[in-house]
Amino acid sequence: MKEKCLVILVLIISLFTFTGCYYINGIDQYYFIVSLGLDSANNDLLKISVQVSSNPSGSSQDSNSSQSSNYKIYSVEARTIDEGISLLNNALNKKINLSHCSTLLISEELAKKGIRSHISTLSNNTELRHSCDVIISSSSSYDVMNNVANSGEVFSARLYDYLTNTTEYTGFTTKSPFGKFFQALDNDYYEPTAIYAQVTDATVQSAGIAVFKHDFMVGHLDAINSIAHLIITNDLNSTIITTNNPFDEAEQLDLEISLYKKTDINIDLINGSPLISISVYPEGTIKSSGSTFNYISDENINLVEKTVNTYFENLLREYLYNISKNFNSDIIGFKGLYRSVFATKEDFNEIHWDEIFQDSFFNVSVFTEVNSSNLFNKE
Amino acid sequence: MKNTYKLENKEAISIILIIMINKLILNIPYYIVNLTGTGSLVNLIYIGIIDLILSLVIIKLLEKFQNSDILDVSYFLAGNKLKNIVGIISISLFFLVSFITLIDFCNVLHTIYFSNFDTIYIFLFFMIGILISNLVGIKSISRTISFLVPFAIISVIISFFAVWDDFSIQRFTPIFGKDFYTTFGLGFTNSFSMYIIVYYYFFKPLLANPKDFKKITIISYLISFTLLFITVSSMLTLFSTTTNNEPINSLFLLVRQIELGKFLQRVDSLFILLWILSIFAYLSFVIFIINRIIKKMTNISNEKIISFSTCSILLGLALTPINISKIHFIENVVYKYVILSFIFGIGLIILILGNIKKLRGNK
Repeated sequence: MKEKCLVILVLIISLFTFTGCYYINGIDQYYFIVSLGLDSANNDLLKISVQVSSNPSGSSQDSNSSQSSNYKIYSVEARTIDEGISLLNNALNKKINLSHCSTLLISEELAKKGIRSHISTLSNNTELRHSCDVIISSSSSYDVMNNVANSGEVFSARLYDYLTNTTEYTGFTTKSPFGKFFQALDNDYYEPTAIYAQVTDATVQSAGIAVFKHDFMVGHLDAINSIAHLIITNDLNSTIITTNNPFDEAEQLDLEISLYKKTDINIDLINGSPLISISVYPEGTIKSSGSTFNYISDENINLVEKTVNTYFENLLREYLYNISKNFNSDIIGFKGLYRSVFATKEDFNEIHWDEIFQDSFFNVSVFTEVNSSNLFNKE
Repeated sequence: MKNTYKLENKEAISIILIIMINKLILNIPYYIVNLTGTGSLVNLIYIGIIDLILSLVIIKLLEKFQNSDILDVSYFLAGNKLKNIVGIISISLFFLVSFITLIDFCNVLHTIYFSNFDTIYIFLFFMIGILISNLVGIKSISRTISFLVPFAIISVIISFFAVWDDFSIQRFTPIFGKDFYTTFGLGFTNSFSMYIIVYYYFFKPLLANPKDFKKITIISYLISFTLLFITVSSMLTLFSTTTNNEPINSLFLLVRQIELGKFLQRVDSLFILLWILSIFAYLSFVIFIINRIIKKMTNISNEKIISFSTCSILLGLALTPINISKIHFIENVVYKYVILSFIFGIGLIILILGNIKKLRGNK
C-alpha cells in the first residue's frame, strides 16, 4: 500500500513536467543581435546601434532564409550603453540579447575620446562573449553596419568574419577579441590594439590596426605596418610581401612569409634611454619573381634573403619608431619584458619607463630563410 | 541510524581536496594576487613552507592523542569548560565559512545565470540538498565527494590551460612583487589560503585508520598546494596586478576564456554545474562537522537530527541583508584573521599545552 501511494505521488508530480511554463523565456522573445555599434552623438551622448537579422528567429520560414543577409539597424541616443539598450528594448517588440553578438563596432571619433567606461560596462555584461571582436571604424559604426552586408555573406553569424579573419592569411590587421582587448586595457604590460576598418565605396574592409594609449585611440597602423606588428608579437600566420627583384629591377618579387622562430627582444638602458634590440626570423616561399629565375643556385637564394632582410629591417624600423615617437604607445609590451630583469616593482618604478619609452632607439636584425619556391625552381 | 561510518584514506584526502577546491572556486586566489601582485608565486612558496611546517607540527602534537581532535585535547587540558569554549569558537568559525561560501556562490549564480530568480530560491536549493545529505549520513557525503573530486581537479587544470596562450614570464615579474615587505611581511597573512589546516584539527577521529593521519595530511596538503599554485598562476596571467578590478568570481572569468574552437563556446556553464555540486558536497561536510562538534559538546547520541537546526541557522545567516562590500570585508579581512588566529593561535596553543600536560602526567 505504501509503495502504491509513493508511485501515485511520483506520477502526479511528474504530470506537472508535461505542462507549459507561463513565464518561459524562449528564443522568439529576443532579438539576438549580430553587432553592437557605438558612436559619439551631440551633447555628450552616445549613439547605440544594433544590427539584427530582419527575419525574426523562431519564424516559420525555412532554415536558410532565417539567416539571410537582410538586416535591420536600430539606433538610439543615450547617456550610457545600458540606458540605450533599455530604450531600444522599450521601442522594439522584443528584448535585445547580446549573447550572439559577434562584433563590437566603435567609431574612431568615439575611440579617440576614450572608451574605458563603455568597455567596463560591457565587461560586466554576462551575455556578451569574450570572443566578440572589437572593430574600430574610420567612419561611424552605423556606416559599417549599413555597408557590411554588401560583402555578400549570407550567414549572419559570419557577417563580419571576413574582417576579423583576414589577419590569418594577409597579416593586414590583428585579432582583437573583446576579452583580450579588455585585458590589454586593464594591464600595464602592453597597450590595447584593435582591428581598424575603413568604409570606402559602400564596402567595408580591414585596413590595419587601431593603436591605443590607455583607453584613447592615438592613431592607426596601415596594412604593411600591421605585418611588422604581427612579426614582432609572433602573431603572424602568413602574409605576402612584394619587394624589388634583385635580379631584374623592372620586375617584382613576391614571397609568402611566415616565422620559423620566435622574435628575440633584448632591452638595455643606455644613458637613460631604452635600447631595444630585435631579431626576427622570417621564412619565405617565393610565389612569383618575374619571367626568369633560378633558385637552385645558393648564390641567388642568398641574394633574395639579403633583399628580404633589408626590406624587413626598413619596415620594422619604420614601424617601431612610429609606435614609439608618433604614438608613444607600447603595444608590443617592451615594458613587461624589461620589468622581468628587476627584483621588485619598486626598483623598476625608479626608471620611469612610461616617460622614457618615447626616447627608445632600436636595433633590428632580420635573418630570413628562403626555403622553397612554388611549383618551379628554375626557368 | 547513528553516524558510525569512518573515512577511508582516499575519502579523507578527497574531502580535504574538495575543501581546497571550494576555496579556489571562490575568490581566495584573487585575494592572494591582489595583495602580493607579481610576487604571488614567491609568496605562495613562502607560505606553503610555513603552512607545511605547521601541518607537520599538528601531526606531531596529535600523535600522543589517539583518536582525538582539538575538542578532546581541550577536554583533557581543562575539562568541559575549555571544550565548550573551543567548541563554540569552532562552530562560529565553520558557520562563518559556510555562510560566506553559500552567500558568495549563490550571488555568483544569481548574477550569472538566475538573475530573474530571487536569491532565496537558490539558497533553498542548496539548503534542502545539504539537509538531506546530512540526514543520510557521512558515508553518502564522503562517497559523493570521492566521486566529484577528480572532475573538480580536472576543471581547475583546464582553467589553467584556458590562459595558456597568454602565459609569459612577464606576467610573473618582478618576481618579488611590489617590494620585499609586501611579499614576505604582509604576505604572511596569505597563509589563510591553506584553510584546510583547520580541518586537520578535527580529522583524526573521523578516520578508519588514524595511524595514516600523517600520510593523509601530507598527501592532501601537497595536492591542495599544487592546485592553489596552478590557480594563482592562471590568475596572474589573466588579471592585471596593477588595477584593483575585483571580479565577482575570478575562476569563472578564467573559464569564460575557454573556447574549444569556434564550434564549442561558453563551456563555463559546464564548470558551473560541477562547482554547484562541489559547493553542495563541501557545505554538507561542513554541516556534518558542526553537528559532530555539537554532539561532542552536548553528549547527544545521534547528531543527524541536529541537521535541521544547523541548516536553519545557516539559511538564516545567508538571508541576512548583506551587501557586496560587506561580503568583501568578511572574506578579505574577518575571514582571513579568524582563520589565522585559529590555525596559528587557539588550535596550536591547546595542542602544545595538552602535550605539556601529557608529558608532566607521564612523569
